[in-house]
Amino acid sequence: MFLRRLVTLVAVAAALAVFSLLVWKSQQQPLDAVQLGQQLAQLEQVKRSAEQIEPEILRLRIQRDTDFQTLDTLQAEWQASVNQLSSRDFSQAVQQAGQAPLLSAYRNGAQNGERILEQLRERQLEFVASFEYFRSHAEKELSRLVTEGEDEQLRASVVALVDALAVYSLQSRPDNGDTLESLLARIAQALPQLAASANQLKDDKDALQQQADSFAALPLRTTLAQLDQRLRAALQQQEQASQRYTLALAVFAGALLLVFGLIGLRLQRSYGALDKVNANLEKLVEERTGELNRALNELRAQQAHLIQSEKLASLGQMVAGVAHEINTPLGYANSNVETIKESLAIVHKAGGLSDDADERLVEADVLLEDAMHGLAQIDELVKSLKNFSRVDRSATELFDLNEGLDTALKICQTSLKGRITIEKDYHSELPKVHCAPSQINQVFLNLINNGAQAIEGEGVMRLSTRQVGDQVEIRVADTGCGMDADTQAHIFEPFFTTKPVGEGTGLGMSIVFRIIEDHGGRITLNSAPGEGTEFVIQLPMQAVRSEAQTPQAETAQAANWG
Amino acid sequence: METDSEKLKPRLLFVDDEPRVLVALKSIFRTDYEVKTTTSGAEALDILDEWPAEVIVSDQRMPTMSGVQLLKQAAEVRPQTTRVLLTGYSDLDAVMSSVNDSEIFRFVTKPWQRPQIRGTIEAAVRLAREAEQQPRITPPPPPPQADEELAPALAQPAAPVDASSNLDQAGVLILDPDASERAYLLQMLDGGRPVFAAGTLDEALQLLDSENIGTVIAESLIDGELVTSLLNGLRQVRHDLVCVVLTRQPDAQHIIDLINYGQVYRVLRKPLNPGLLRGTVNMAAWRHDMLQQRPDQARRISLELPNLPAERKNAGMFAKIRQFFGATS
Repeated sequence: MFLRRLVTLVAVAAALAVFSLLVWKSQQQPLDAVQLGQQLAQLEQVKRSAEQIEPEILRLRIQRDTDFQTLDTLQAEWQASVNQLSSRDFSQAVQQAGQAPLLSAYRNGAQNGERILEQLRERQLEFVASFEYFRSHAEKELSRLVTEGEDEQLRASVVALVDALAVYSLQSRPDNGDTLESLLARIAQALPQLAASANQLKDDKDALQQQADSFAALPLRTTLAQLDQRLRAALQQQEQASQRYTLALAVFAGALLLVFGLIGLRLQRSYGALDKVNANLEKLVEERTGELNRALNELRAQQAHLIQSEKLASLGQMVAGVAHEINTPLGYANSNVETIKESLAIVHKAGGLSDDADERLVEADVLLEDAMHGLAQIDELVKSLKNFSRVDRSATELFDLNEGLDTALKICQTSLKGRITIEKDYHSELPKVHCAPSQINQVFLNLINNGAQAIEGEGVMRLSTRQVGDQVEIRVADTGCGMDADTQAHIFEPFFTTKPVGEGTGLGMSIVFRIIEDHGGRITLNSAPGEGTEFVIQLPMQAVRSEAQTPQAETAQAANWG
Repeated sequence: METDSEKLKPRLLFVDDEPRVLVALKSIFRTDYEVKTTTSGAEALDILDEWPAEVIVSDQRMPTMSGVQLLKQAAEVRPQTTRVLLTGYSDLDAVMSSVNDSEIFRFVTKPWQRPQIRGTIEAAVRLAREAEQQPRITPPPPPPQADEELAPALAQPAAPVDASSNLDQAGVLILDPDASERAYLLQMLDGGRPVFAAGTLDEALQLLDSENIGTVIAESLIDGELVTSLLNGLRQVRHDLVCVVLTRQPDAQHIIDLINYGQVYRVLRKPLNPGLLRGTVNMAAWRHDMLQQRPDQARRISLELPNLPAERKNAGMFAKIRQFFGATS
């Protein structure tokens, strides 16, 4: 988990680093293209300025002009543009392009050019002066020759020399040097002074031409072109690199976007799955909660039933014990009363007593009769209790339901006596039902108690039994307060009670319902507020199977119902 | 000095830890019987040793020795004495034990009614007098007790009885509506005396009529009815028949009825222990042989049986028995 997190962190950091590097690289422009453009224009300017100088030199020579104004202007412009090349921006740019030597070479060249131009100016002046001198000299000699009429041939040679020298001066690379030499040689004897000035002119022209040539020979143009080309190449290279980085950036960004998209997709899927799981979980939790609640309710009901059954079981044990304890004194008390009664009869029969004594004897007999009656009632009650608790009786057997009802009535007698009239409508030949008598007794007891509690003051309770097909029907009806629909709907639920808190367990009717259900029977009720309640139980005659009962089931039943 | 009339008076021994009960009982019987009473079981055994009482009546719940224990020891001291258990409480274990171990004659429940207890005592005396006249027969060793049921090594084979060597061996009839239980019983009793099985009352009656049967082993519930009626009815017509009842759900009241109205010989609880069953069958066969040799005593036992009260009587079953044997024998 930690490793995974670390790897993710490193991956994200690496991606970010690469991204920022690419951004930086693509944005990095050591040569500002615009600035460089301006600088290239400056170079162009320098080039143009320099190029204008050479024709001016030519013009000066051809026109034999001594006015250097134009040349000065052009030179100044050139120098100014060259100086601009020395500006910081430009030199920086050139330096970054790695072309600083070229620039300095050009500057040096430009300095040389300036010197050459200074000398050129001097040579120009000398040339112009020599030319003027020669021309005037030649004109004078010609006019003299014409006037003197001397040698026609000589005059023609001078004219030819003047033409040849003019041509020589005009042309930058004159090809009439030999002609000029031969002409010079021809007049040298006749006119040595003119020949000297002609030679001077020729020499000055050569010197001038030499200066112009050295200016032209300066590698200014090529250097400039090279610089231009190199700078352009550098710019192009830089642009290409920038483009490459931009492309890489785009690709990387695209890749990142794809990765993010994939992560997003996965995340979305995960969230979707999570949502689904959450929804399922909530449903599951809800179901489980419901189940747990049901289980809890069931458990509570079972616990309550168990407690109730335990109570009944221990009550049964106690009742049985008490019955035994009562039966012993009851045994001898009853026996003695009978014996005494018998003895008194013998005494009475024997006679010989006073009237008073005899009367007392008769009275004693009546009293003993009453005592026997009372003892018989006690006996009956104890028998009922024993029957009801059914300790040491089999859990299931054929059972007379009429007897069960009577037993329950006897047990309830205290709450009924004098207050509630009992009406019995028993089917005299009601078939016995195979059931768990202790449980059925419990049902009857609960129903009778319930009815007795529903009756305030005096009332009537009606118990009836009858046979309906292969079923036995028992009805327990009271003239009590009755139930509303809500109470009727919940009457058989555990813990439902209409009695004040602490008085009822709310279990009596739920136990009734469970027992009847366990017996495969049905219990319903007819009731309305103020009109009493009638419970109707229908039991199949074979409510429990006799032989199929497993010992475990019996044990469980014994534990439940004593 | 005992007079002749006193000598003729039957002797009754009452045992109860409550002296007032003894006083009451004595007051009932002292005129017609010679009565001795004690609150101690040990003392009762001492008295019985010297004083041949016809009947011993004991309370069940006593502090030092229970009624069942006392009657069991009394049977060893004086087998001819008829044993009656007086009880105010139907304790299932005590009731089972009183049948199987003490071989009691009757239960009397507290509070007793004078006419009933008188009748019971009279019948008990008659039976004892009958027994006095018979030579004593030593019973076979008893089968393993309930608490030894877990030791199947004690299981005894159903060995034939000596007395039957010159008699036709009396067979055993199994009456159980459950076929698998029947098969199990047949398998357990296989190899000894003849064994017959019936699933219904009619089949059982048929077999009783056609075969020589000395012992009936019957499930307590036949067709959802208790066998008390059947036993009561059978004993009226077959005095020497010995009945063993099997039950899955022992019920104290039913067993009391089985003794009081059917003179059941043993009541065994299902599931059965094979050794106990075989031993019981041996004992029952011996009992049958004894009753056969003493037809008067057998008849006496049967005649002393009271009629079932109407509410406990299964009229159909009873009538069937009567009709069957009336028509065939």
